[in-house]
Amino acid sequence: MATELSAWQPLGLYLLAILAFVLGVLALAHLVAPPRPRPIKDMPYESGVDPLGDARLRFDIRYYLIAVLFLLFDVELLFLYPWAVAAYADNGLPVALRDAAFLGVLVFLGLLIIGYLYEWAKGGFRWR
Amino acid sequence: MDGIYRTIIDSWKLILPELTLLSASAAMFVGSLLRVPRTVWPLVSLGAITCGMLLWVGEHGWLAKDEFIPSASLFITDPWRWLGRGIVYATGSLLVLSAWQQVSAAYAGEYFACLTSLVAGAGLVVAANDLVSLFLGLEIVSLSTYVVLYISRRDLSGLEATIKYFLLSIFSSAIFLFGVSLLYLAVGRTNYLQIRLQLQDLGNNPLVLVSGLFVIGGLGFRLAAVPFHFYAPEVFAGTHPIGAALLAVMPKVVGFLAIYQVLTEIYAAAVATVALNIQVSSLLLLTISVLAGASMLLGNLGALQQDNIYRLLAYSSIAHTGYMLVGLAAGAKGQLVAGEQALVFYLGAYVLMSVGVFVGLLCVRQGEKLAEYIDELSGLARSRPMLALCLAVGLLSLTGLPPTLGFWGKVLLFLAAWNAPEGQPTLRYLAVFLAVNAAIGAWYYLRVIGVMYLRQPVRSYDRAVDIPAWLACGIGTVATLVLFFVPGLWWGTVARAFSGTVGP
Amino acid sequence: MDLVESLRNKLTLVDGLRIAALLACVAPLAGSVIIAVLGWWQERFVKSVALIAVILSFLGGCGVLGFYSPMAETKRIYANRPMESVILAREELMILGRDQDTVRIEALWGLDGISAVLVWLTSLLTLSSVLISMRSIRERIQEYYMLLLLLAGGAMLVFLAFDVIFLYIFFELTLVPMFFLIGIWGGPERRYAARKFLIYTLAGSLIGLVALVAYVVQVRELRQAARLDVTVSRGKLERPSDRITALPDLAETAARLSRSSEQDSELREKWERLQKWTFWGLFLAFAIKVPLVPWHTWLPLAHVEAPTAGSVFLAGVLLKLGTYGFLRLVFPLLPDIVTGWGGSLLAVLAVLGIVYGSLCAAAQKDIKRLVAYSSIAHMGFCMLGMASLNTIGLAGSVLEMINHGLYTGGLFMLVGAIYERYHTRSMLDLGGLAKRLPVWAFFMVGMSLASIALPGLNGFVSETLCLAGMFYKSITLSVLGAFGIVLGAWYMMTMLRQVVFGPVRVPVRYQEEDAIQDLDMYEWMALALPMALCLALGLYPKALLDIIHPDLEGMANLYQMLRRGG
Repeated sequence: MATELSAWQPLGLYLLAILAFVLGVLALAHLVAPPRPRPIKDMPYESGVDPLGDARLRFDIRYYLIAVLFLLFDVELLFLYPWAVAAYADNGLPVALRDAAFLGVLVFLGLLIIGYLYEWAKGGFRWR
Repeated sequence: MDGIYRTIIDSWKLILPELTLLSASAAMFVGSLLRVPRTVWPLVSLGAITCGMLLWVGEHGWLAKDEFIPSASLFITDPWRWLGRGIVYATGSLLVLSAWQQVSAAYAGEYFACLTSLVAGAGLVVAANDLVSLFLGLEIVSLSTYVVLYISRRDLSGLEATIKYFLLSIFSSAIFLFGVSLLYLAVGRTNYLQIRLQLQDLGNNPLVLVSGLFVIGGLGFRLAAVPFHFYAPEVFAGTHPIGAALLAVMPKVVGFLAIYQVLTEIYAAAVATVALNIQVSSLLLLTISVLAGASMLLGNLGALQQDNIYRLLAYSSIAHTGYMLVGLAAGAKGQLVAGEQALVFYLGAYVLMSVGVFVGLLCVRQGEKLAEYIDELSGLARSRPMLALCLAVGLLSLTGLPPTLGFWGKVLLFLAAWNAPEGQPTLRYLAVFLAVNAAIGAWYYLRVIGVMYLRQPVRSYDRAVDIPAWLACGIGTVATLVLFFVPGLWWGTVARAFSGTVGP
Repeated sequence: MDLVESLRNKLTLVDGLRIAALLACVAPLAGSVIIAVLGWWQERFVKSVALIAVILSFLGGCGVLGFYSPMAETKRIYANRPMESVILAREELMILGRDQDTVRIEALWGLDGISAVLVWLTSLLTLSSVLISMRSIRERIQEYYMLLLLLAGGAMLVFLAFDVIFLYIFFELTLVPMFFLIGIWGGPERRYAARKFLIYTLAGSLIGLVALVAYVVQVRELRQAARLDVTVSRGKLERPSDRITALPDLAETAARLSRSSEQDSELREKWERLQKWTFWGLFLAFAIKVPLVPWHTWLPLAHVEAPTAGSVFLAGVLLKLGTYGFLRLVFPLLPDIVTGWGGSLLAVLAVLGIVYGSLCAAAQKDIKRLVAYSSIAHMGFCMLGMASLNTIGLAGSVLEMINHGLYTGGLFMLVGAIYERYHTRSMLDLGGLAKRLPVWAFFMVGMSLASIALPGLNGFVSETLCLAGMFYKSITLSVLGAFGIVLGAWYMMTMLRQVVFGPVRVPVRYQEEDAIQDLDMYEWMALALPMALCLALGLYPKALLDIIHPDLEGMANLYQMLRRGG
């Protein structure tokens, strides 16, 4: 039995680590921060500007579009960095595969450009 | 080393059909910006699928080469995968036919582009030899499905259905991915063959079992297996019939082939014993048996109470998931009929009959208004006799009555579960349970047929003919009928694919 | 098959049989398809196609009898096998299993004496049904004849099927047209009746299918366990057939299992348990169809609501599917159960059906209900004869199937004719019709007397044989069953006295003398043939008995042997 239970260790540790982190951060905030509430302090922080009206405002739907597009292209471009590092480093990809990797990234970029063009033509970047 | 590199570099050739489809899809996205007549898109889509099929037919020659190293390839072709991809393409072309005239001109380009990439994604899932490529395929399918669902019906209820499906599907992907990551944690590999090798050395590790449960759960969402089924009725009823048809067949094909793949090619190798000295794989199969029983029962009981025909069919599709899961649970051990063969046989039959029924329903319309409630089908046999006949054949096949292919499907599933070797009484109970559920199912399917044939017509429906949809419906219906008389044709193909030879 | 081998010098006979059987079953099916496709054209076209199809089918049916009867003589030699058929055609459907260990699922079409006479009966009743419908069905004609012919073809294929799968399939398939016939052209409660009919019989037959499939698979395992699989002949190892669904092979295997399990107690236990479970499954399927008494409630309803031709077919053919199922599946495949408690159970239920059906019939005022309940009683006779397990009883049972089809079919047609004319079926509204409708009255009296089992008419022969067969097994049950004949005479005579004789009494609307016509040509023709056959088979039953006898002897021998062995 013992050996079998011990095999659960990674999972248990993982769960424990999550719990500990969350609780720890909350506790730390409580413990470290001196509890001196003032109205100005309790005000939500909005880049130094006084908040106006209710915080639960509806965002313009166009923000979401922009956000999603940003995420898409940003994340996808981010992919190029590890590729660039891994592909041509001395102990990176084997030489035999480098051409293939280069072609692959070209295809990837091509697809990205197709997506970009599509978005552009559809008017995704226009602020209407 | 050279062989490995060659394999890595050349493995794209294995998915040539899918690459064709994906490039066609990309081209259609760009092309949809131009003003092109609507019919061009389904034509392009169908053409791409046909090209894919031609490549698929000629594909298996490459496999024979010596230098192919499975442990280095993201994809692989073997006989059953070959057959599975065939089912995917055939399903895809039927779906293209049924949607031919149903999408407004403004969105036709995107719709068919997404449909094409959906087929490609499904093909990738089947061809996968690596958890990463499996997930890639699954995600391509999901993403395309969201768009397809939304475009086909762009009113409030369509939107609601799409959002529901979107959220749950994302959730299920996350669960699946979590399972995959646990497995990776355990073995540190993603390639099936490498995982298998690692698992054999791994010994006792509960992570494997947990990951298996998560993977089954994540894929169970796609199959709409109980307890992951609750989105199905809402989505089926909310979306357009072509969306419902797509959801009824494609996720099932993809999901079952994916589950079969991970079960046999990964978890079957997990020799580790868990607490009660049970093999991981048999514990997973037990889970699947439970899912099968629950899906059959709840699906059928749910369907009994429905007035909306699409909700009814959604519950019926849940029940059919249960039937097919029985085949999966029976596994390869059956002496007469191997479970997975019965499953794939049934899968093909299910695609044919579902397309027949859904596309038939699509034709029951008055202008833009489609029939939604069972009562609206009253007297269809008098106002539209051929249509009613197609629907009746499809429903009979879903019931599992002769003279339809569904009958053989159920018989084979029953045999597979019944004839599993001694010492597995669960499966035998499952077989009996399947029969009982088929009897329950008969009630609500026959009720629909009764409404169509025994009542007076209450409404008139358009006589306008949507030829491609009719073609799809006709293919489904005729094949359902004809294959009943020559089941050996389809059975032989399936049996050969699983015994390791390629070809029809 | 060795039978065919021995008949090689008579090859032309088998070919003739093939053609006749093909004609009998394909003609209605082809007619159905033609009507379905071209029926929109003209009403008269539909009717003529239907008529031509059924006439051809009847000719085929007669041909089946004609070609088969010389074969029956040769067949006596092979009577030691429990089931033996002339193979008409076989088609390979699927090969299951893996590597060397494969089995074949085959569609096997064949004929033996029992199915030959039943095919003939079906073709005859189809002819009558179509004739009787010529005037009485006025709406949705195309669909009506399409379904009727489909039903006929399907029913004939049940009798021709000699593999469990197709036997079951066509057994099931007959439900669908019948469901629509009742549901569309039936009486006021048709929808409820149709649904009840369908659900009842479907539920039963689905359980039957499960039992059957399980049986087929298990028998194969048992056979392997008992090493019956490998036989040594002429110094070579020989595997018997891998056609696990073929009925003759299954019957042979069952007989051999029963025989060889007498020494082996472990095998015995397994084999008996398998038989027990299969029996309950199949029993339910066929007991509902026959119907045996606690499961009969769908029948009066379905009969009353069905259109005339539907009733004729239901009583004449579909009920026979139940008894045929017993005779073809339950009896040969489960020999130990049948010689044991199963047979007794069937006999008791049969007597219960006879008495209960007769008493219910006596209480009816609606003539159609009366005939429906009398059907239950007659089917009880049929089951009683079958349960006796000897040649006499079995022969009586098969003959009763034919005879019941003839006179009950006739009675339903006559009741339908009255309903056409007076729109009532109540005995209280009718009386003295012999004066108004003399031809009708003649047929009514004739058919009723046949149903009562008056000597000289066909009912007498078969019911006497059934009772005589039972006499060897249980005198009590036989005497109780005989009581049913007395009851039958009572209720039939009461009905005749009320409706046919006495002072004229018709519903008020029909007082004028000339408003009502006697039987027209179609009805006359539809009735004349069964009537003539009632008489002919009453006087010379040997014509059919000779045909069915060898097959029944084969079965009876088996049971005798088992009983002696046990």
